[in-house]
Amino acid sequence: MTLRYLSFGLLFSSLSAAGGGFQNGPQGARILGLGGASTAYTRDASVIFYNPGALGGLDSLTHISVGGLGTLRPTSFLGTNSFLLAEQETQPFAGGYLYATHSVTEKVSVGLSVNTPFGYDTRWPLNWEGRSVVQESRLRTVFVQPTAAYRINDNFSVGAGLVYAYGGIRQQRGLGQYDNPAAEAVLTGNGGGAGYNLGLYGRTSEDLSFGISFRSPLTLKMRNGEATFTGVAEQDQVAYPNTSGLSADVKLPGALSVGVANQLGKKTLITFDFTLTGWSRYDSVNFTLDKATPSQIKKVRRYEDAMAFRVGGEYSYSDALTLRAGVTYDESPVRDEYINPEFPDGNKLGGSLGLSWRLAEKISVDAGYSFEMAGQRQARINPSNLGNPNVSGIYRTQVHTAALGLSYSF
Amino acid sequence: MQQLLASAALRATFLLALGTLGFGSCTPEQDVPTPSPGAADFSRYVAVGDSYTAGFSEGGLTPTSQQYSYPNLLAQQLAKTGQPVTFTQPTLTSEQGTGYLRLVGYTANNVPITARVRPDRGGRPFFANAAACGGADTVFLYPRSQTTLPQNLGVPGIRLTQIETIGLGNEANLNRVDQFNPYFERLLPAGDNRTYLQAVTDVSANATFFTFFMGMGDAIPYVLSGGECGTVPSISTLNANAKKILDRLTAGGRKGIIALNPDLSGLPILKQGARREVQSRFPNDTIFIIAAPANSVRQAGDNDFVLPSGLARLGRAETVTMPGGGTRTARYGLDRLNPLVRRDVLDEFQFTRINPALKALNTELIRLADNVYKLPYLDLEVAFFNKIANQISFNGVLYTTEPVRGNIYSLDMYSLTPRGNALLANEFIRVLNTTYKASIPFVDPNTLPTTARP
Repeated sequence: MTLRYLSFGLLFSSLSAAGGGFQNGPQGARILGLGGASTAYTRDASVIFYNPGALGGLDSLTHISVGGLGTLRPTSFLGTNSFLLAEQETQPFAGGYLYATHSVTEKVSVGLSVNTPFGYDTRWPLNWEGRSVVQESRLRTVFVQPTAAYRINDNFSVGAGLVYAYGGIRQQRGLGQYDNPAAEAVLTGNGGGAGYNLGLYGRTSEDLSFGISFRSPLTLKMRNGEATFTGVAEQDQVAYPNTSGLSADVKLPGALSVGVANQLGKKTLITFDFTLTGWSRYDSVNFTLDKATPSQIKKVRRYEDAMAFRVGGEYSYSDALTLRAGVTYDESPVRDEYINPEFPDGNKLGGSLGLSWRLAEKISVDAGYSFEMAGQRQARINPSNLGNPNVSGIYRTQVHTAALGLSYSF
Repeated sequence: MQQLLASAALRATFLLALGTLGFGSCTPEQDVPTPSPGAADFSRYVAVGDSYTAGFSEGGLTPTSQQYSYPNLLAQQLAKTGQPVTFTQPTLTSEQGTGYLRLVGYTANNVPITARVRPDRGGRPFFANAAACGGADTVFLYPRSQTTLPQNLGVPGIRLTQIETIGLGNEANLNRVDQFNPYFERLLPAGDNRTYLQAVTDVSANATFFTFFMGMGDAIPYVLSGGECGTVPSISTLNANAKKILDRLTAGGRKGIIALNPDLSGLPILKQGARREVQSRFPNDTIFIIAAPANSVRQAGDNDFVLPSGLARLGRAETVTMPGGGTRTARYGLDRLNPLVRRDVLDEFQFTRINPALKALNTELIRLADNVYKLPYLDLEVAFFNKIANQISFNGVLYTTEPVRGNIYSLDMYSLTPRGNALLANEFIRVLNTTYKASIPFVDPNTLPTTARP
C-alpha cells in the first residue's frame, strides 16, 4: 500500500531532471539508474531513442515500457555587488516516456518512442534583482519517433527513426524601467519540427557489444506565438504593444553517441557511453514580433558543443531483482560570459541508483534516481553589452531526477 | 524470501530517492559576504559639492529628490556595514520644495515640454530681478533647514570661485547678484556671514569621512545660457579653491574620495543638441546659427551645440523680416534668414573655453589626490558619464541619456533621477571597496523611483 502510494506520488508529482544544457535526464527508469549509459544497452525498450540500431539487438519479444520522470533543479544565486541571495522556487518538472518494440520478422523490428528529452522550468522570485532579465522561463517538448531496425546478421544491426518534436516556451520578465512593479513582458509560443535518428549496433563477442548513434538537430518552428506587455508607458507602446503576434525558431541540438556494454560473468553488466551534443547551433533565440518596432528580440546564448561521459553497472541479484548504479560527467554548453539566470547550467558530476523488480513473469517495475552537482558558475557583467542583459553573481545548482515505470514483455 | 528482499530493496531505493529529494529542496548554500567598513571609518560622513551632491533633480530640490541624493544613498549603504552611521540632510518639508519641472508633453521634435511648479518659500521674501542676465529672474528664499550645517553640504549652484564669498548665505545679500546663494542661506543660522569654506571647516571638524565633487557648478550656468550669462572661471582660482576645501577635508588624515568632473559634451543638455544628433533629425537641412567668430550667421559645426530651448523651437515655420523690408516664412534654425540665436547655442568657441577649465581642474585634483593627500579619486567621466553616454544595462534594465525614457537624467537634462543617483553612488562604493578593502553592497537602481517629481 505504502509502495503504491509512493509510486503514485512519484509519477504524478514527478521531480525535475537534466543532462547537459536543458536536456532532461535519461528518458527511462532503467537507463536513469545506469546513469544514461545506454547506447549499447539492449535490455530496455528506450534504446529506440538512444540507438535505433540496438532495436535490432533486442530479443524477439514485444516490449512496452512506460513511465514518468521528474526533475528538481534547486538553484541559488548570490549577487556579486548586492550581496543578495535569491533561490529559485523548486518546481518539479514533469516528463514521461512510452516505448514499444515489436519484431516483425527475424530480420526486421519496429518500434515507437514517445518521450520528453528537452525542457526546463526556471522560476525566480518575482521581485528578485534579476527580475528584468527573467522571472520565469520554461520549455517543454515531446518527441515522437517511429523507428525500424534491420538485423544484418547475428552480430550487426542498423536502425533509423523519424523524429517529430513539438514544444512550447514561455518567458516572463519584469519591465524594470517603469515604476509600476506589475509592468512585465510575457512571450509564449508553440511549434513543431522534424528530424531523424540513426544507429548501429554490434556484438564483437559473446560478452562485448557496442553502439553508435546519431540524432539529428531539429528546429521547433513557433509561428502563432503571442507577446503581451503590461504596464508600459504611453510613449513606449511602439516597442511594447499590449499584444503582438510572435514567431520564433527554437534550435535543439543533435547528438552523436558511442557506447560499449561488457558482460562480466553471469550477473554483472558494465556500460560506457560518450556523447557529443551539438549545442553550438543554439546560438541565440530570436523572437519576431509583428506589431512591435523594433520587431526583433534577440537573446544571445552562444552555447558550445558539450561532451558527456557516463558509466553504468547492472547487477542481477536474483531472477526478480536487478540493481543498477551509474556515474556521469556532463559538460555544460554554457560559456562563462553567457551564464544567464534563464538557465544557469554548470558542468555536472552525478551518481545514480536504480532497480527493476519483476512483479510477475511479464511485468516488472523499474525505478531510478540520480543526483547531480553542478559546478559553481560566476556571471561577470559587462554593463555595455546590451545584447546580453544579465545580473552579476554566483549560481549554484543541484539536479535531482527520479523515474518510475513499468515494463511489459510478451 | 526473495520477494521479501526485493520488496525491501525497492522500498529502500524509494526512501533514498525521497530522502534525497527532501534534502534537495534545500537550495545549495552560498557564502553571503558580511558588509564591513574595511580600513575606513564611515561613522560621520560629510558630503561636499554642488547641485549633484544636494540631490537637485528635475530643476529643483524637493524632499523626494533629497532623499535620493547620491550622498544619502551612499550613507544608507555605509550604514549596512554595521557601523552606526549618522548623516543629516537639510530636508525640505513641503512637497513642492524649491519648485521643480513637470512634464507637460512633447514638441513636434519630441523634445519634452516642461512647466515650472512654484516653490513653497514658507512666507520668506524674494527678490525679483528684472535686469537679470537672460531675462527677468526671481531669487526666492526657502524655509530654513531644521539642521543648520547638515552633513550633506551640497549646495545647488555653488561655485568653487565663490567659496570665500563672505555673506554668500546671509539673507541681507538677497538682491546682490552673484554674491548670494539661497540654497546656502537655508543651511546657515539666520544672519550668518560664514563662507562656504568656513562651513566646510566647521562640519568636517568631527567628520570621519568625506566625498568631494565640485566644479560643475562653475560651468553649468554658462552652458545653460549659451555662454551669454555667467563667466568662464579662472583655472588658477578653481585649482586653488579646490585645494583650500580639500585641505580642510583631509585635515588630520581624514579619509575620503575626490570626484573628477565629467566632460560637458556628454551631458544631455549638450549631447542631444550636438550637430550630428540634430542633423539626423533633419537630414535634408542645413543648420544655421549666429555665433562667433564675428557674431555672424554660419553653418553649425561638430563642436557647436544646440541647447534644449533651441531644440524645442528648431524647424518651426516663423515669419521673418527680410533685410530689404517685407516678410517671408523661414524655418527656425534651418534657414539662413532665421538662424538659431546666440542663447540657443553653445558654440565651439564657448565650449572650448568652459570645458578645458574643468579638464584642468581634474588634472589638479588627480595631482592632489595622488601626490598630496594620498587619497583615491573617482574619475566620473570614465566610471560613470562616459558609460551611460553609450547606454548601459543594469540587471536587465536599459539606461540611456535620453530624457524621461532613459531614467538617468531628469527633465533639466543635466541633474540625475533617483536611479541615476543610485548608479552614481555605486561608483563611489566601488572605489571604497577597492581602496579601503571595505565590503559595501551596491544600491539596486531598478528598485528606486524613475523620477523625483512628487
